[in-house]
Amino acid sequence: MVVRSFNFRRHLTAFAITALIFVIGLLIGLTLTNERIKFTENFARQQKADYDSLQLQYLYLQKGSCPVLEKTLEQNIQELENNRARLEEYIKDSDREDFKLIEREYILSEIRYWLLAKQSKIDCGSDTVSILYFYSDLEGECEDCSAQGTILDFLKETFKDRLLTFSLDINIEDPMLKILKETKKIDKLPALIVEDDKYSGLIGTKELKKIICSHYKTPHSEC
Amino acid sequence: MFHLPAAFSVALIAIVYVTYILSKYIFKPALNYLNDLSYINFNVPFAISKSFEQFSLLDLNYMIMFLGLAIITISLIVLKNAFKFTQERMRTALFSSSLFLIFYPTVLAITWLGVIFDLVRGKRQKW
Repeated sequence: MVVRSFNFRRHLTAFAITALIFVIGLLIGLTLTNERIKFTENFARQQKADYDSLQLQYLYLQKGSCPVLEKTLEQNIQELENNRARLEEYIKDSDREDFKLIEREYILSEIRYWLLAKQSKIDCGSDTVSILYFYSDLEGECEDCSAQGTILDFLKETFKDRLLTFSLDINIEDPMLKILKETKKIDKLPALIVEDDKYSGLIGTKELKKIICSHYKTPHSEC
Repeated sequence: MFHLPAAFSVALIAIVYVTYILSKYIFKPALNYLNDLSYINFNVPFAISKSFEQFSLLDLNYMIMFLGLAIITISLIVLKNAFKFTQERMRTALFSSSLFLIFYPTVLAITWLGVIFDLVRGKRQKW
């Protein structure tokens, strides 16, 4: 039997190369996470400023400028929704605490915009439908949430600026969200609040379309 | 001693692990995505436009991409040298080479764990 000589230097070199690759990988990961945090934080700050500005515009311009304000409101909500979805993907990659705090800020922005949209409907008489969507991202907690999200995205694309969607992750610790969950009696996910009516469980595309259409004063071309 | 059972065990662990990883991170999300699409009548243009609309360079996971690329490159170098050493033609072993590329990193990781374990307990490997 041959006893193979152990080449310590060769093993050490292999270990050093492997360690180097992994260290570079980890550094890339850390840099990426920091960049993502910076991006989402900046957006949250920008959203807050946009919201304050929009609220001031409402106070200052009043009814005459409703169409312009409604358009800005819709654009802000859509941008907020897109970035909230992006943030959720980032959280899947890294569970840094910073992300959770930013996510809470996003949720509060969603609630703020939802209240502003309600107010705008009263003040401007806008013919839009608002949907509050309660969901959970935790595995095993809501099997149908992903499908409900896709349906809402599709309907948003269909009804464009006449449908406003606000997504709220029920697992975020926030007193305002807790109050909202309790007042709307959210016990089953996914849950939708279309204007003031609650719908629990997965609502299919056709059914949801019918519900949305029933809330329009002047029927949409898709209804 | 026990080289063949050890090799079989490593291969079995690698197959189970790779299957688990593939099903968890590729097959299950793909099935869920198809299920979601079924609710909007498989409106693929909408799904594609939505993905493009929301795409940002920050969304890519560069860490996974770098590690994946490094592992594939090392595997290819090992594969090329193996063919050179055995003087075999690469074309005749396309299937086994593909399997090697999929399972080799896992097999290698498990083998290295074994090597470290042997080093720690001061075992001298006989061949």
